[in-house]
Order: sequence, then structure tokens, then C-alpha cells
Amino acid sequence: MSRTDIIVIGGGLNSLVAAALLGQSGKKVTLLEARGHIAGLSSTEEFAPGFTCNVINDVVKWIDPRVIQKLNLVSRGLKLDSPEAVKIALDIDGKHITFYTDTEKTAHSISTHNENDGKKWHRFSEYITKQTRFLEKLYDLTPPKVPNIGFGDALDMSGLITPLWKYGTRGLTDLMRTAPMMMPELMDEWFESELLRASISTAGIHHLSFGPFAAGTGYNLLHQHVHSNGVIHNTVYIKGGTGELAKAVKSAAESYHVDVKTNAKVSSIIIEDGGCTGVQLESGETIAGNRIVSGLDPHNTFMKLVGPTHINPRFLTQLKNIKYRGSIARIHFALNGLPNIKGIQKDQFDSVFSIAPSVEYLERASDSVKYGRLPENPYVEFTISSILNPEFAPEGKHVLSATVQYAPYSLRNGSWNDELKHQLKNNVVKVLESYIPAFSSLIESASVLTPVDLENQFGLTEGNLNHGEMTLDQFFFMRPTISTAQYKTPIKGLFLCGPGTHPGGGLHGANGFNAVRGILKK
Amino acid sequence: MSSSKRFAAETQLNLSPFFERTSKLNESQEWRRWSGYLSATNYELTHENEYFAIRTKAALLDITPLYKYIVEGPDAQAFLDRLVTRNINICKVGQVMYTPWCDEDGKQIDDGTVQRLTQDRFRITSAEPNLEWINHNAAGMDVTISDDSKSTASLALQGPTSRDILNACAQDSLDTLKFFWMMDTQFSDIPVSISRTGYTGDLGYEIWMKPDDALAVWDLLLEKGKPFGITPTGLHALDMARIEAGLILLDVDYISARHAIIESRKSSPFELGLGWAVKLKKKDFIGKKALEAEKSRKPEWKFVGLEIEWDPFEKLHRKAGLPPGLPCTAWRTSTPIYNGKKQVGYATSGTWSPILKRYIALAHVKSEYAKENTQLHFELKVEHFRKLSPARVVKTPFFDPERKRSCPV
Repeated sequence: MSRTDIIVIGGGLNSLVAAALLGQSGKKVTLLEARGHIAGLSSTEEFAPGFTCNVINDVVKWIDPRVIQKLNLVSRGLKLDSPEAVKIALDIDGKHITFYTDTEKTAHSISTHNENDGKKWHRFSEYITKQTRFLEKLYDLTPPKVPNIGFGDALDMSGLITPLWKYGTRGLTDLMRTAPMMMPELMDEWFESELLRASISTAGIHHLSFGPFAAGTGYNLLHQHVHSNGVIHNTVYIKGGTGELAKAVKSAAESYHVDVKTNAKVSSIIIEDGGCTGVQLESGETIAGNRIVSGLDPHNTFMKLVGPTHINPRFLTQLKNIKYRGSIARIHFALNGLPNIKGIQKDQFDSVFSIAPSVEYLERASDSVKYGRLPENPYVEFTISSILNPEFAPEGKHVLSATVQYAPYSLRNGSWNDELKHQLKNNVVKVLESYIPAFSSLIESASVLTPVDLENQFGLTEGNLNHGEMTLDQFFFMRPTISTAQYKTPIKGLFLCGPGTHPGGGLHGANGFNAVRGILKK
Repeated sequence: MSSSKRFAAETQLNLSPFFERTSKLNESQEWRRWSGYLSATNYELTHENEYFAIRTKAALLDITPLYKYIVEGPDAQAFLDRLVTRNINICKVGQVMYTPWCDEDGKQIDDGTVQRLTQDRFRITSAEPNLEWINHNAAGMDVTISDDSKSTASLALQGPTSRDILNACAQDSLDTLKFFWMMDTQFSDIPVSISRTGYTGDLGYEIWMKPDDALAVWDLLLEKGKPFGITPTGLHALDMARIEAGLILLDVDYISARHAIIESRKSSPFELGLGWAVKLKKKDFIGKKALEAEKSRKPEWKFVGLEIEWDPFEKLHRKAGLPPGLPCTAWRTSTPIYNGKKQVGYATSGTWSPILKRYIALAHVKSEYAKENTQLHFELKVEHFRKLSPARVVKTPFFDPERKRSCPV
């Protein structure tokens, strides 16, 4: 049996960040990853012979600047890249709307659809950005423990003074108003163009099981735009794939002597007298350490690793009530040539494409999750990742990765099988073919990941990529539960650092950063 | 009895599988609701004979209204050990354990028995519905929980001749069945389980069977039990016996932590005289932390037996020109208990004990007044005026015959 100061469970981005920062502070840290390699949801893997993909995310919306700076990620080889056209909302008649890093150019593109909308674009961008400034400050915090907010918490929140000074209480009330809103209502206040309304709504439903008509999609829209510097649909690519982000953090961790172990699946956290004393691996090996940081989701951490016999009834209720509800499928296509997207010039092929003709289309797509059936016309967002990373495919060939929303975790009639996956793929191909003529003739092979596959391969409860829905009732001091929002848990010495904690999902590392602050304070 | 005099009524209450017999035997037609069932209060016009059946013959009670749950599966033992305060890990197959269970603040939710039917199969009985609580806490464990309340019918046979009656009915001898153990046997070809348990503090058994076999079992017991004085018995007699035995009753002597509307209405097992059933040495269980803390700071309340002293009691009545006014059935109204002029507690149930010839009560008193022989005062009304009558703290059970635990050989 070996012994270490701190055990970090999981090798995803937040776990790596936490391990690296703890190592940096001089602790002896061991990180345990169940799979054969680190990176978790930022994995870049081969999915067909000769073809590589970003398994879950092609795009990083934002990375916590504190993480990049504190771990010197740029000097460790992290290369961030933003395309000029960050997103293209495809139109069936080829009248696409292109979103650029340059707001002026976006406004121009919108104007070709609807002049009024184009005129409002600047103000809308500012309106959203202003509110994200508050969130950015909030995201740096360890949430307070309500209702006993102390002087320390108030002091921590003093960071909010900067945006408050700049935008006034009006800024804060706008946030409080927008966050609980639903997309069509927010859009009613701004835009007329159906394609534009739908495209903005896609940010509100990003990786969510709800449709745009759900309350609180406003919050998710803001969450996607934190640290986006005023760019709506901000898109950050990582050169070489998202796996490179994990690699850069891993190299930081290793420089601080973090022992990174792969193929080391933790089967249980050992609890004695209400505190943790180590972990047991599936191999039978035990590692002692009375501080454990779990990057796994709350369900896996508590119900599987800690075990129900150590969970008190009240906390159990809170755990059971965390909403997971994975609803995303990923389909990676290995293509024998470059697809032809109607009305898109080759120089814009590095953008992110979305197929969402109307807000109602998105809402109808979300019905499939409500009723547990396959989506006929899903919302599809895709990138051709081999454009930015030619090494992803053999010469002359390409990789198109699609995020498909909504694919239910549990189906009403039966369960996911190869036939249903095939059917889902066909539905997606059908949708894509309306915009990419003869798409199916390009397909060499495809890999379909349903929420169930995501659960099995990545240990995501119900396949939820955010380790718990990004809803307002699971936000800030309520994430993951009201009694564990400070990265601490009822088990002495056990901490959480994954996306299930504040400030939620995405490849940004803020959870790991905040968690470490709490752990080191103890 | 002519058919015109037969009792008949529409009811939405549950009818036990024994109702076909009990309804015809219930001469008084006095019924009470028990867990949604129509349950006989007394079969004869007064309950006295039924009470004496418990203490001198054998009383037969329909206890089907008890809530019963089956917990089975590889984690059944670990789960129950976490749920209740007693150590289920040492409960052997065929053994029964009486135990309370608590919420995580160490406040009692209910009490009942846990029967270990096989290695991985248990039955737990309770006074109130507990399915939601049991299910909730079983999350993530490899157990199956089913409500056995209607799938098992049960009878209690309590009293000194109960063993003789069962020996006359069962294929196997009951002579070696020890207190709080159970066995499977047959009444001719009917399979039954018999546990040596009960709610009377006397020699007694509880018989568990399929509802379809209920009437045949009832008939056989009455037939074979006749020479031994078997007597269908209702809840009035039972209530007196359980007070003599010092056994608590949910919603009378304490309120479940699950629906106490104010904190002070909740009680811990320490405050209910069940400290012996709280095994703080065992691994984590629900409420352990709170109970540990309570034990170290000493519980605020104790649950004690009181004996209302006869002579002053008689004197108070004589002063008013009355003979001593004794309750003819058990009462369950909260009654103030004083030390001098200060109220230090309250009695929750009491009865005149015909067998002991003593007036007894069960009471919550502040811990400092709970020592045996402490002289307190019991509030009573004599001819509409409140009086304080001296009462002494005494050990429970008030009545504890050797036959309760002993075996004939």
C-alpha cells in the first residue's frame, strides 16, 4: 500500500488542473484515471483507422484565464486559435448568417437577412457581454454556504463591485432578469429573423436536455459567453485537438511531481469514522491518503465510490434530486473527401455550423427527450475538424464531427442498440444532406456515441456532459447540492472538483481551480 | 342469533382475512381503526375476560394491520443494519430483534421487529407506513423491498397456555423455541411461521401465514385451543397488557420524527427507554452521530414507569365522599406530572393493573427526576377539581413473569 498527501480521482481537465495546482503548492499528489489515457471529455482519439476526432467537444467556449496563467499553459505548448467566422447558421436556401469575431461583420451578415436585426446587433452583444462580466466574477468564487453567509463570503463577493461600478445596478438587474428567461422571450425583445433567433437560442440549449422554451435557458446562454470578450458564439479551437489542452495541463502537473496513473480505476473510497482514508483500485491495490479530490460527478462519487451506507438521508435526497438527463449524441464521420456545404466558401470551412432553422424546430427536437424517442429532425452542430488539424485524417480525407441534440438517455420503448444507433445516424445524415449534397456518398465510416455510450465510456451519469444539468436550480450555491457547493462534502477529507460543482460544465478548468483554493485553505 | 340482529355496514376500511370470523364473534360490535383496518376493541361486552385471558389463559388477537415489509438481497443485512439502531449483523437466521429506527438527527421514527427469515431475507414490522423511508435509504444498495402488509396475515396468541395450544396444532414442538426466535412449521398441511414475540409481556407467540390460509388457521386454533381457554381478544385488553409490560406505543407515548410538527415533539430512543437498543459501537447507521452526541451530553428526558400510590389516592377521593375512581380501561391522554409545584413531565398512558392491583402509568420526565423511587405527583381530577396525587418512579416492566422467557425443559 502506498501513501500520498492527496489523491485526485479522474483524469479529466478539472482533475488535472486540481492535481497540477495542488502539486504546485508542494503537495504530494497522485492522480488516478480509469481509462488508458488522461483527458476525459477533452479526449482526442482515433475513431476509425487513420481518423482522429475530438470525442466530445471540438470547440472550447472559454478557458479560465487563471488556469492558463497560473499553470503557464501557453509556454507548455497550448495553442489557442479562433476562426474569423466563429459560427455559421445554415439556411436551407443558402442565405446563411455568419457570426464573426468582428461584431461589425456579424452585424453586416445579419443585415442581409433583416436590417433591423443588424442594427441591434451591437447593442445585443454589449447587453450579453455586460451580464457575463458579473458571471465571470461569480465564477471565480467559492459559493457561499446559505443561509449562513458570513463576512468572509461578503468579502469574497466584493469582486462583483467592478462590474457593478461599471454597469450599475441596471447591469445586475438585467442579469437577474435574463438568466431565468426562455429563449423565445429574450429573442422577442431583440430580433425578428427566425434564423437569427434560432441560432442564438442554440447557445441557450447547449448541452441541455431542455428545449429553448424552457425557463433558465437564458442562464445557459450567458454561461456559454463567459470570457468571450463580446463575441457571440465565441469559438476557441485548440491546435492539435482538445486533447492537447489536457496534455498541457498534464505536463504542468508532472513538472510539479504529480504522479499520473492511467488504467487505475478507483472502485471505492475508503471511509473510516466519517472521514476518508484512501482509495481502493479495481486491481485490488489500495492507496492511502486522507484528502481525496474527485473529478467524477456527484452520483459516481457518492453512490458508487463512497457507497450508500455512508450517506445520510437528507444528503441522499439532495443527491437523488440532482438532474443529469444526458441528451447529447456525438457522431463522427470519416469522409473520403471534403464535403461541399451549400453556399459556403472553402475559407470558412474552419467555422462551426449549426442547423437550426427556427426556435420552434429546436423545441420540437427537444420533444424526443421528453418522450424518449429518436429525434426525426435533430438539432445538429458540426465542425470539419480535419481542416484545422490535417493530421486528423489521411491525405485528402476528412473528419466531420456532429453534436446531435436531442438524443434521450432512456428510450421509452427498449434501450439503445446498434440498430437504433444506425437509425439515429441516418436521421442525422438526412438532416446534413439538405445542406451538404451527396453527403452520404462521402461517408467511409461513422462512430455514434449515445448518452448511454458516454455513460459507459466516460463514467458520466446518464451521459450528462455537464455532470448535472446547467439549470438555475443547480447553479452557484446550489451546485451540485445546497450542502456541498463549497467543494467540500459531508465526508471529511473528500472534495469535489468536477463540472458538477460551481461554475458548471465546459472545458474551462474553473471548477478545479476553485476547488484547490478550498482544499488548501483547510 | 337471528339474522335480523346481525351487524352489517358498508365500510371503506380494510377488512382483515380473519374478519369473516371476528365480525361474527364480536358480540359488542365495538371496533376501532387500526392502520386502516376495522379492528375489534372487545369481543365481549366488557374487555375484562379478554384481559384475564392474556394473563391466565390464551388470548387470540388479529394483528394483520401491522405494517410489514420484506427486505431481501445481497445487501439486505447491511441495509437493515444501517437503517435501525440495533446490530443486525449478529441477528441469526430464525432470530427476531425488536428495534427502534431514527432519522439522521437521532430522533425516533418508529419501532418494530426485524425477523431474519433467511440469510438474505428479512421481514420488518412497523406501527406506521415506512415504505417511503425504507426505499429512500435503500438507494444504491442491492436489495429488493416489498410491502408485505397485505401478503401476510398474522395472529398473536398470548398467555400462559399459548404454547400448549400451539403444540396441539403444530407438527413441530414449540418447547424449544426461545424468546425472540421463530420457526417454520405446519398446522396439518398449512405452512406457518411462528415467532415467540408479542405485545403483552407474557408467554406468547405470533403466527405468520398466507391470507388464504387465515380462516383455516383461525378455526384450528379455536378448536384445539378450546380446552386451554383460548379467547378472541380485542385492543382494549391488549392496551392494558402492553402498559403492564412497559411497551411503548407510537402516536400515544411518542410521536414519529417523520411527522412531528415541532422539534420538541420528537424523541430519541434514549428518551423512550430504548437506550439498550442503540448500539453505538456498530459502524455508521442513520442517526449515529446525533445519538453519540446525545449520549455524551445526557438525554434531556427519560421514559419511566409510575405507580400512583394507593393510600393518598384513596384519601383524595374519600375527602370528596367518593370511592377511589379507577379507570376501567387504559387511558392515553397526556397527564401532567409534578415535582412539588413544578411540572417536570407528563404521563402518556396508564391503566389500573388488575393482576398487580396497582394503578400504573408510563411517563416522560426530565432526566433529573427519573431515578427509581423518586417521589412525584400525578395530576388527576376528583369530582371536577384538579388534585395532585403522589406517584413513585418504578422499574418497568411492571409485570414480568418468568414464563415470558422460559422454556419448559
